[in-house]
Amino acid sequence: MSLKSYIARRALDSIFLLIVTVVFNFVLFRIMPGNPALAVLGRTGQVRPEFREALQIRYGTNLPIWDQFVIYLQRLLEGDLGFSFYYYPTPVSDLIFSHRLLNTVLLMGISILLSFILAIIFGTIAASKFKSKTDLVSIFITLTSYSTPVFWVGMLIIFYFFGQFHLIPLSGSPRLEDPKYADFFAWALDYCYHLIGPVTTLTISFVGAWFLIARDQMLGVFMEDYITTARAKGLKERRVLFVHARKNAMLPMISVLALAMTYLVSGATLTETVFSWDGIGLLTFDAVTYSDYPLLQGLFLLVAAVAIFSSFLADIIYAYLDPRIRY
Amino acid sequence: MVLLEVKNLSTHFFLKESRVRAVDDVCFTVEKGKILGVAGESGCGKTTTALSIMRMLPPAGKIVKGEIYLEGIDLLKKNKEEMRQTKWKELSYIFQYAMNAFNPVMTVGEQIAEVIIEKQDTNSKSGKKEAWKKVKESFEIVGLDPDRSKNYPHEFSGGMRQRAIIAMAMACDPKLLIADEPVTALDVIVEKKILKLLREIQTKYDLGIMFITHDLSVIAESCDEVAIMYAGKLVEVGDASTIFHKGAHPYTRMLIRSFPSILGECKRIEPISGIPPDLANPPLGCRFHPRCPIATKECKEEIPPFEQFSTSRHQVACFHAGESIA
Amino acid sequence: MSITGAKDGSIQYLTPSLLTRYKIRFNRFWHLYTDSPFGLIGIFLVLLFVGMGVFAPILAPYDPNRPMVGDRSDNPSLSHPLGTDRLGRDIFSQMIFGAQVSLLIGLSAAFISLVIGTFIGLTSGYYGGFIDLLLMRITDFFIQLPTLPLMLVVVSLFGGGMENLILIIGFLGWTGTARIVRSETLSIKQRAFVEASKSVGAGNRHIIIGHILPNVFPLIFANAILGVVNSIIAEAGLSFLGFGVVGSWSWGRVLYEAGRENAILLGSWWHFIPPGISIMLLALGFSLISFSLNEVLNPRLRER
Repeated sequence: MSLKSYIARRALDSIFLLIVTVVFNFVLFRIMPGNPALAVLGRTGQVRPEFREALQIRYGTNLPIWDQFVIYLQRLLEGDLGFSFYYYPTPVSDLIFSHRLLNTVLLMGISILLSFILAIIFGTIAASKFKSKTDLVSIFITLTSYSTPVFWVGMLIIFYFFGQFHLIPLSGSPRLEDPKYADFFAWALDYCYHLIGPVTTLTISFVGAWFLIARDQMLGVFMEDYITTARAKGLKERRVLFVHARKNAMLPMISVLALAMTYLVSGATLTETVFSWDGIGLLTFDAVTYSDYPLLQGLFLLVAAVAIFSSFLADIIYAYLDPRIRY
Repeated sequence: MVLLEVKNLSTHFFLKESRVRAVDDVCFTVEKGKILGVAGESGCGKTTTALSIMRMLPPAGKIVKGEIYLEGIDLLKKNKEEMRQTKWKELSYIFQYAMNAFNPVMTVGEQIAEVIIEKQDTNSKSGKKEAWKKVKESFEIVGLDPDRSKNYPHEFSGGMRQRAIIAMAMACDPKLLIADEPVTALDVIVEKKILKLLREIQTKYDLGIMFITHDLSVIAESCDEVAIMYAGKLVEVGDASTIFHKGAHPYTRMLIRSFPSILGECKRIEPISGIPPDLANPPLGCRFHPRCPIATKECKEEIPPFEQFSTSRHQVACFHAGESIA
Repeated sequence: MSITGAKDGSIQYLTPSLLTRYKIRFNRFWHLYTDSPFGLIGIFLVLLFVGMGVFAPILAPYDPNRPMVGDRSDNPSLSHPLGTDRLGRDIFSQMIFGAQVSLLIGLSAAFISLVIGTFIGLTSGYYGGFIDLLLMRITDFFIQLPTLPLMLVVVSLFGGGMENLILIIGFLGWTGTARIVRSETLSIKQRAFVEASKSVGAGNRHIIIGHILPNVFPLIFANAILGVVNSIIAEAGLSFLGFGVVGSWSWGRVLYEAGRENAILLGSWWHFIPPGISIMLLALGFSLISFSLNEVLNPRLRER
């Protein structure tokens, strides 16, 4: 199969998955107990019947389920994700595509990039010293980090670096609109300052998850004959590791990165909660806490779409990068 | 003139509960401009000997004794960095698994150029140009189209890859080439061509080659001298013709008998019965005695010394050297 | 290799030697397993917490739910080694009982994941074709979805509580197992003994249960233990956000309470450091076991 027809097939797969997701998204939020509109009414307590009716019409919950689905699809195609219960009457799309998405993309982007580089460097070093003390110690450290709940790492970081040493701010995510910032740079500086805590937390957690994968890939590559050849050639060890081995070990890491791309928009609920980082993760937490179903639906759709797209992209990149792959 | 001298080399593998004596007290030399063929069954320590010379043993393998002189300098006394600089410049290596010797994500030319650049004194831009010029030259020497140096390994056929490997091995004008089963994976016709190429290059550059193979017919075809190994021990060394016609060690003779000859009369091939010993617990005395038809009590108790036999360059380790084996 | 020989009456005489063969196999396994100290440390840690969970009613000095009016928000003391929370409940006792819930949720959720993952992996790998394509696309999709938000959504729909938590964590954690079981099944399917079994007319069910399952089982097992780690961490996260178990104490819930009482800012480290360390050590114990098992069993690592 040529690359082109492979891409076409994967694209079809992705579109199919996207349709399944849209349907699933609709069904999932209809099978919950009770009526979606009741959630918002429950929160407002006693309401007049007219208001209840108005709300039902507003959310379309008085219609038969099939009509609801058609309306849902129509609105979706127009980019309308409905109105939030909790932040009523703000549209869901305004809640998601705002400073929150930016905050999350920045936080996750920096953490993912940092962790990815660190995991590859440490993984390479550990694998090159297979079963040595360095290797065992780094395995132990990363297994520990893998076994530690990320929010607890965040708590410890706040406790020590804010509470004891006063190195980082407590929490929050500065907004450019805040009048206390004289100019863009003042804001940017404070923003970076606030990023330190959550980025450190997430990096510790990601490196714990990725180090072993990177090490494993490297070990696999080290068993390859061309590495022995490269060593026999008397190349510097650094060149053997980072030119000959890394290029090959990087290929499978692409799928790891594709996975991480989803986090880029989904955010990290626990970390964002601990550091009150106003991002998508925190928004998800709020949506769950307040049973804000339209908002949850919108969030789920966004994340699922990115997940499908990034896995599609990863497969294409993989096929393109490895000259040996023939589908 | 002696190019490589291996003296009393012992390489053992230290496993959790046992010590495998993969190479034990081995002595031999490679002359300048000559090809030494090293033959023996698989697992007899040929590759371990070669890897010991390259100092590229797996972690469990340790050289416990011996000296390895390359032009009079003991390689075992060099530190890691000195050894790294020696590699490829003085001695290069062709590995068993020719097919995967090149990195699949780099072009063949890149992989040859990088080692030339590494071994150059200068690291300037002109050095890079120079290196690529040499890559093209070396491609021509081994009979490859220089333009193909920009191709990836998977775009080469098996024979072409083998030529490219030889080009890479010759890239820095080494004095000694260790070739570990360089033609085993190739078909007979390509094998012939590659052997011819090696011969040509060897005469042209006055290269010393240590040629490892399990295939006696390849040795008969291309080697000046032959060393026969059995179970980590060298059993016989000598001129190719001496070994093939007047082989004195029973193992040598049986090994030769177990190969079909195209030129001679049709004879029944006689396999050697039994299996090589476990090198973690090698038999006392001569390691071949359990399979030897003429073994005596002496063979079971004492290790036969490695002694000169018929000519000055013919050495055998056997108490009954030259005796008929029925 | 296969276990079915022992079941077959006609070659019953093999049974004693089979036993010794398993003994030898176990010895070899144990030898490799203890190659690094990790495996033993892991077993020690897990046993430590299992002991803590089993003997919790004896070990805990107080009922973790009983508020002691006089001892609200106490600092650590001899009578309350880790102090008390704002309702006057003994934190040390909550910690001891926490081992029960963490282990229970971790093990049972991992078991559910194991069953689902094995079923999907075997089906996908053995039957191939369209079923494989469909199942693997779904699996890939679930691998891509961020787990915790998904769990949160489901918890918010169906409510928390011990049973729901186990079901939700279990039902969303099968993807890794499915992938590994599938790829192992694919390779075992090709082996001669499966071909042989097919050629004498064995049915699919017999081949899957009799030949493939016993061979993929060791790897499934190593993976299931990693599933326990993931489940323990997931439970901690959900409980910390306030969507965890209600009646009983898990370490995640202790951390949730600590968060509600602002323990970090108040500097009451005894409220949030011990439960975190407990989660870490228990999960680490399982991680170490899983890592060591994987070193022994993973076919890709086996050659080294």
